[in-house]
Amino acid sequence: MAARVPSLTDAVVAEILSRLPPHSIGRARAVCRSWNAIASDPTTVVNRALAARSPTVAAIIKDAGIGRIADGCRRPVDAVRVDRFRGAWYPGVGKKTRLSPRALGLGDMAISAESFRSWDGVLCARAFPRNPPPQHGAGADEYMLWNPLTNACAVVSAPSAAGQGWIIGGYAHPMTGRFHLLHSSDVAVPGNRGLLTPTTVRILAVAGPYTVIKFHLTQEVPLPESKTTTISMRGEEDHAASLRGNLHWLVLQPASAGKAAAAALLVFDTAREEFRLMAAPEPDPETARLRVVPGGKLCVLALTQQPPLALEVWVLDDSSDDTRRSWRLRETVRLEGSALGLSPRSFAVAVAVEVVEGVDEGEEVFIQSGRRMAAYSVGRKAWRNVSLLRSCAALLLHRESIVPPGVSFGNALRGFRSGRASAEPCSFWEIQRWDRSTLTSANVPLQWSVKSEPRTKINTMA
Amino acid sequence: MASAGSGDEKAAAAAMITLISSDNEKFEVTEATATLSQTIRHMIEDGCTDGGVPLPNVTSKILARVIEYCKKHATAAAGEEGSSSSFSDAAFLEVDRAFLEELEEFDDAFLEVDRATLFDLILAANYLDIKGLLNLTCQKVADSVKGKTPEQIREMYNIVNDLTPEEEAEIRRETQWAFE
Repeated sequence: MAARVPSLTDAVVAEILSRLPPHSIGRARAVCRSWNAIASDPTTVVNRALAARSPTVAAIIKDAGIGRIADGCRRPVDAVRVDRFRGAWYPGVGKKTRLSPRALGLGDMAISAESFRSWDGVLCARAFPRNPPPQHGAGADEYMLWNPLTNACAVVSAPSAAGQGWIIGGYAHPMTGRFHLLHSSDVAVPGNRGLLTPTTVRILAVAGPYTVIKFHLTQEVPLPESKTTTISMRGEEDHAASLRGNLHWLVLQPASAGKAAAAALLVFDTAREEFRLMAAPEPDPETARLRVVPGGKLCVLALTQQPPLALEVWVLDDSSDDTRRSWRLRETVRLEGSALGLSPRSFAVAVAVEVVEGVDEGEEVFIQSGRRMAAYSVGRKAWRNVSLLRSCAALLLHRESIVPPGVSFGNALRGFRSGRASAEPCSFWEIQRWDRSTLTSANVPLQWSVKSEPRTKINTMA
Repeated sequence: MASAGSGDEKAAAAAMITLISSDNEKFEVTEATATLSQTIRHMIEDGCTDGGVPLPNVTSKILARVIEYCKKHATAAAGEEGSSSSFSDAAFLEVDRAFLEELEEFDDAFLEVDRATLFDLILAANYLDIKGLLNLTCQKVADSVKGKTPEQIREMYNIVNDLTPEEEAEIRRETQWAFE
């Protein structure tokens, strides 16, 4: 029988590609024009399927040393590597070179490894010129964006009007795939360590205009006590939880007019680019962290207020209806078996905690405290130690994105090139790097321009 | 019909749907079998299935296979729907483990078809919106594509490379990470 192979429609090709690992999708782009269009369009089912996959635990490893930059001179260089945990860190995981850590150096820019965040496949960290070092309070902050899978990198500055501030979240815009950052200018909350009150939030579309969101909140659904409300949030110690196109933060509404301070959820809809507030559970706000559990539900992790010391996992049920959601205490994780030596105080200031679908054991809670890391298997109800890499600077959850570099970063793209770090202590001439000189010699200067005046009011729900 | 599962014959006997293939062959199926297709489910809900459901995109050969799949899986789907309210997950898994294994064997055997038939099944599953069948067949193609070079994929599936050399070079440059 002569083979009459019917041709597949684009919808069906998208279904097939969305069942492939990222590397295979990347290769498939070179098959033909329509496969390329399907695999590289950030709005197709392919990229949505990737965005829905379980993230893996990743460690940021910071190396500093003397490197040889393009001009042959030896100079101090920072490099960061990202290593994804697959039951073990890289050196223990067989011989597959594909699993090796990705590395990046920015030439004469230093990278602040402590502030690393991962949103929609892109790592974000503060970067600053090494020479001369920035003076505190002077000049605009700069941020490095890096997709370690495609090795695409961009360095962008916060608008100079923003002054001091920090990045509270990032996302690939659902319609365009362009990477956006949320930059907050804020004031410290008097007498409350580590809490900041955002005053202005700016949406920075990478290589595009920025939008100001005034953060002195005028409510459309007024609270009984007052017409305006302020919120406070943890600074760079904590990070936004990203779920189904929304970014979420655990925030505090300060005590006012006879009402005690209360925790709330600040939600940012990335498609509409608007904020709103939601009710949150009442665990100890000092230690509470907002995360996403495998399977896609928001959860709050907080220490118990009475001994014995334990970590409570509160899960938000029914994510479809914003107004009628309920928090359920799903798990209480005893901490004494963890060998991390945690105290409420150390937990509040210096611990990274993530919930992840583990490689072998189902759902696991990862906690990093200083040089130690431990994983708790929810199924087995037992702790195990996870050997930590030397010089691990940050623990985070990361999921891969194949969105093409030009789509993510536009003309702020500084370059992409394959570079594989060796497992040996970083040898800098092998890894990807961008010089300050090449950064500034790009065709389009790095700048933001004002697109519009303050435009978004926050909708508050009691 | 004998293989459709004797357990729910009582319930299913009442409602039969007639499906008509592109070459005008008629197939009588139970509503439980037919509604695995979301497309047909919506037609039933809209009350426009009297006189049969014409499926101009599906040949009798392919429709017969699709119905074979749906009959086998209709019983499983009925069990799953019931379980969400009346059984705990664990109890459901215990009772149906043997059946699920049988289902898996059926699926494996079902996929033993030539490429043209597989593609026709995918197109039919997509058109009829049968999630399980679409997943099964697309996964089969995805598994065959995994780890292959663009040249191998083109050859396997007779895909014409319509990229200009410049375009292909640009894509290769941008996706070099995928070839390591």
